[in-house]
Amino acid sequence: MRHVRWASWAAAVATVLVVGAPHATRADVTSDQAAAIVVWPIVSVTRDTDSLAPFADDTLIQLSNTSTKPVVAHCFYLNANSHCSNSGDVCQIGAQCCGEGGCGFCLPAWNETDFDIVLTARQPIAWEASDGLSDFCSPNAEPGEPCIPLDGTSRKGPLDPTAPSGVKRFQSNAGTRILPVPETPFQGELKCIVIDQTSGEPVRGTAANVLIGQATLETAEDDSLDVAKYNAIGIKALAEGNSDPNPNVLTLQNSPAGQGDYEGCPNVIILNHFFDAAINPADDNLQIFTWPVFVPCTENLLQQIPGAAIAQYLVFNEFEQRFSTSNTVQCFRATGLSSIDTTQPENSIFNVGVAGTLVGQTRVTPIGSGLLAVALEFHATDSPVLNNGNHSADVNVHYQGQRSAADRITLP
Amino acid sequence: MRRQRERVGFMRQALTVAGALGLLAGVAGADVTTERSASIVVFPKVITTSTRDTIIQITNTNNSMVHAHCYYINGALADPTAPQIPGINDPVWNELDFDIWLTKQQPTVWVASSGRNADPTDNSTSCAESNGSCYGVGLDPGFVPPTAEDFTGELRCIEVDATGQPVGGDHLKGEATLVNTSTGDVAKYNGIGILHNSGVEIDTDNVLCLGDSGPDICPSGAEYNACPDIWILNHFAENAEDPIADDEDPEINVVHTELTVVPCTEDLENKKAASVVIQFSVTNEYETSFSASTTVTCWENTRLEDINLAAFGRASLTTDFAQTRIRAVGTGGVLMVAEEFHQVQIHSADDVHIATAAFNPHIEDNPDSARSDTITFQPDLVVPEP
Repeated sequence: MRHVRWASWAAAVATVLVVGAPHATRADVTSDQAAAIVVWPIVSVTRDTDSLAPFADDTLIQLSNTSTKPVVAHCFYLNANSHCSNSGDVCQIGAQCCGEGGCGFCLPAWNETDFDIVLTARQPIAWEASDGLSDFCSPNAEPGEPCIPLDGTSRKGPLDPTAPSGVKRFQSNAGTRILPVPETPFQGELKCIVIDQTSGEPVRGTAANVLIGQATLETAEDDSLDVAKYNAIGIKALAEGNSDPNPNVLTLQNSPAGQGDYEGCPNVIILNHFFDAAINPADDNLQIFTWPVFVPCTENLLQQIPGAAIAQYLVFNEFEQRFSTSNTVQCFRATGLSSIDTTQPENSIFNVGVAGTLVGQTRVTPIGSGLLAVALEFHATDSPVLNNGNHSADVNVHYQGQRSAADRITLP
Repeated sequence: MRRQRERVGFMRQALTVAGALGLLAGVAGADVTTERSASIVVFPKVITTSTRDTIIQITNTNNSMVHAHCYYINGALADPTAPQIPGINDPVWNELDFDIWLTKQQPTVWVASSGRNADPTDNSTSCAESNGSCYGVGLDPGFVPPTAEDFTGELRCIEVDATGQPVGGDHLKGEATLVNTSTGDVAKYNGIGILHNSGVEIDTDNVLCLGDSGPDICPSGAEYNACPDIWILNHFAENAEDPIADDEDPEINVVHTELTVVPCTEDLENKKAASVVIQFSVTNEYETSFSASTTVTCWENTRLEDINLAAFGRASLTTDFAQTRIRAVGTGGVLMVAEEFHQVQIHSADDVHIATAAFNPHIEDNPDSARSDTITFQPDLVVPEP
């Protein structure tokens, strides 16, 4: 009897030892696996305008269902354009709001437009952000015609394995209508969430981890072609979430402090970058500029309240010298590295002349809301613009750890 | 005395049960990562030709010094101008290795064609004095040799200790930037990281186990995570029209996708090139399925249309986009990156422009996967401490 008691104590202590040990891997946010929420931090449409330099002419969005069952995604464009108080024009800085009648203010704004996409098993779909997809493909549609592939009548997919027993139903894209971005020029975010087709509520559980996506930012004008591509950032649903009583509140947290429905946002974002204005070591005609794009994890789409975070930057150069700075990210932030800490880029800690080496590692720790990010890298003759024979490459950043605090997405 | 014996027995039982549970916790995951630091970082596509070069960035994400043993493997054909003919014109599969040391949180960079010299006279004012042209300034990670001319192959870096013994820790991350030195076009992808299996200590033999290949080969078990079961590639159909460029000539404005694949298994001791059959399952936008397969030996860089135009071409797919699931046959896995080539004539009288974008395909983890690979080193890699 005594032996049995010792055995149970031994098992308990052993369990504590193992559970307390650091785990080998954790499923944080991901840009290389399928997930239940996919986020494209930067979508830009700037055709025939120069007011949102250096963003690309247009963005091609690719979205795929990796499962063998149909899936419905509810998607949101989050318009992060600022507008002039006097003219209503899209602006980035106050100086763009000056005209013959004087100057106005460049007022930040944030609003969403949403739509649904129904994807059949393993189906890929793609659209230009400027146009969206509104019409179904006709039976004699040519390849490359921008249309929604399967209308369910003239073009059908295979039988739907999720149909009730005895019901013969074919898969299709019926119910899909992909909106174009709400205005041009446009800069902002796109987010898609797996929902239940019947109830419209987000699907909880790992079965929802089926979406992957990419964005291709392309500029083709003034005798200049540039293409850059990044993977959408995925947030995985947890196996057993602790759902908020309100089904439209999605809790992003998976830590000892609490468990939500989805993985938490990263504790640290790690960006390997060239310091701004560094000369490309493989082509000394080009300077390199990096624009990180940040979006908050917390978003209240019901009350149109954007998330806000203080981003703390810890910068290491190749001499292991350390610098730091911080700024505020509200709703969406896309600026050059050397505009983060100063209005005089040549004096920035991110400028190559100040940093003293070609490359750096920057660790970004968010306070308040969590953050998601991608980086745009411009290889340019003098400044980061894309219509002058310059080129760019996008890259997904690295992550470390998971925030203990919860982030919440509140759906309308 | 009796109480003491019971306490000893208690501790023994606790440790035994903990060990058993710890073994379970140490079962290797079947995934690699492109967004977390890892113990092995693989750059499948490194090109140094007359028109393209590759910039390598590697960073230590740890607060202590980290060492890495790196090696290039040249997958170029002995005669790059002639087609591959087995036994006559095979890949050279030469290996070139070197060590780097990175201090706390240190980033470093080098250009593959020129390497990086160790210069102790570097100082941080030279970047300002040279207006940003300061390649090589910083704490040099060691001597990084240049690649051979017309090098087309891969780079792998493995975290080791000061003696050269592979260790876990997951402290390395990296990126590769492919630069067209004629046009200035750039494409960038993340190095693929293979995580250490923290439940297993890396033993001192010269075989690294990615997944568990059995007690004869891997007496310690799976030292690192296994390679992915399935890769998922979202891509344009071959010869699809570039959708964003204004159409002038659909015969000219086309998109191609190039896939670069390396087997996870490498035998550097015996210079034996691993060979893997990979199968492609392609689904178009109408949910119609196609399939293809090919064999990858050592290093393969190929357009999708050269694998099978009927499975990947726009004419047969009848849509411009597809999802392809890629699976290696057998227990050995593969690693890969993709690069899109957009060819556009912006105005009808203009030259044709080509721009590229590299990206990391997605992976699908399968907990039941039996993937297992090994990397076998030269036996003299580890230098005993005096």
